[in-house]
Amino acid sequence: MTFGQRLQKLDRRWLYLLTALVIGIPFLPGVRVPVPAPVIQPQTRAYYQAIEDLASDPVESKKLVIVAVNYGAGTLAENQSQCEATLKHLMRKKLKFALLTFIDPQGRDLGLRLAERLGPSRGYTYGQNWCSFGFRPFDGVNQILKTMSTDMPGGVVTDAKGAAIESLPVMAGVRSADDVGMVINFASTQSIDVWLQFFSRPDKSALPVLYAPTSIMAPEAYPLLRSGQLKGMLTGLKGAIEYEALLKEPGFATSASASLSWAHFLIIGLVILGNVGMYLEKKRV
Amino acid sequence: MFDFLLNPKIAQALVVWAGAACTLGIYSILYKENKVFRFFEHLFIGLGTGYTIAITWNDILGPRWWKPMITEGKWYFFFALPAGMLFYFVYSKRHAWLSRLIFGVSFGAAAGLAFQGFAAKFFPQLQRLAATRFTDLAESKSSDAYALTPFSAALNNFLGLVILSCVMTYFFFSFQPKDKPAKIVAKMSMSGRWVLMFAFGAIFGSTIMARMSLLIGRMYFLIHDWVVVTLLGGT
Repeated sequence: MTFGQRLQKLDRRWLYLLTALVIGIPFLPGVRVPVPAPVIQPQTRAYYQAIEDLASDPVESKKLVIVAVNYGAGTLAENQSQCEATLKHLMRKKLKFALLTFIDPQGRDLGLRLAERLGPSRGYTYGQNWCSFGFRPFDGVNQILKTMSTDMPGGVVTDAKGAAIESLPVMAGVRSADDVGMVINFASTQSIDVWLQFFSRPDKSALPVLYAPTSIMAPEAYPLLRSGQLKGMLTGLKGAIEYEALLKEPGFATSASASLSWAHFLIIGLVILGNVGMYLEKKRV
Repeated sequence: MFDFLLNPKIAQALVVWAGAACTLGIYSILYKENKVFRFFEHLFIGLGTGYTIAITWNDILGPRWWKPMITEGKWYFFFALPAGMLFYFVYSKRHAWLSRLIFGVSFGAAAGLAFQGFAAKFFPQLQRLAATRFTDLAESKSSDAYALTPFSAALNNFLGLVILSCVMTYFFFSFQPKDKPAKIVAKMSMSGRWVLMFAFGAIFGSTIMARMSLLIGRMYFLIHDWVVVTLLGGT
């Protein structure tokens, strides 16, 4: 069997094993794989800056930030690290926020648990500084967001713990989209459109919308950045790595950067090898 | 009997062990098709469905429909039930017309919302493209993160228009490429196909990154949470 044939007929399970090793080795205790500092992309810097700008505005910083946790356990590695870094940033800047889920019901508890884990050590109390609107089914989210944009308590009604939303101190004075300072959407599937549709406020100053999708969805969102409909974006795990670097608060994403970089090297190498194998085989035949 | 489950450390360890078993069970498909994978696949589907039903009742139907109807005197909320049940008449040949009533209402509302959604998403993009002249160098003076040099701004707008035209032409099938104008259209169409391929290539590259990221998340869980912390007692 020639080298080209060997490459063409290589059992794909060897590739799976190789990928698992390349990704797993940097996580072994005591192993330190060198990776250069991440290059911060403009959309990540804009994402960071939008929150900084909101916090520095004396009027806007008093408004509510809606954090849409639209992901499930399937994309934890990408979306959870984005969400964790963002909540840390919001808490650092003392911005009040509300969680809302309308795509994957798992996002309701993932967001709630994350905020409950991060909150106490940062002086954040449920009901006082943050709350969760809970889960709303995507089939009805158009109607709910449309109502929320003009009548926030009427659209939300109760929080994730069953309390009337108006009874929460964090919601005091929040009557409509005018009382919302920013929307941040973490997404594993297409879900940004509804925010642009109902919270874009075309007759007033645009409400800043930030987007943190998985890497797959990011290319479709670039036109929204250029048009100004999105103020910033985190591109999957890579975006989370860059954002943690900007925050100077390393988390899971930073620890995964070596694995991500080496996995890309491996894939590129395998693509080249695969093409070499195909070329050699064509030449031989 | 199950008091030991109240111990947070034991409960956490059980959760991690269950997570590790599920992860390895699902990844066993990479070796070959097997019954363990099928078991965990069904387990995930069942868990996901049950979880969704519970959350939908706890967050939507319970507080927003059942409770107001039963305890707050909003008896007229009852009519949501027969209206919703109309969907299920689609399974009856004799009474399928009843389902069309509710489907018609849903489609009408969805169509109106979709039109508004299209306008909200795409009109600002078209407006930005149309309102920026090639000679308008405002973008270069902008302080935003996407500020371009004057030459780049002009080139970017020009490319945007050309690519938009070519891609639109690719989906325009009414010409036969015989006469001269039609040949130009055919060339534009082919160019549109090429730029679409570039876009799909970029999306595929991002897809690889996403898939690797998901594997990284699971590998971190297996190595750190399961082996290092739970099995070896590390931190």
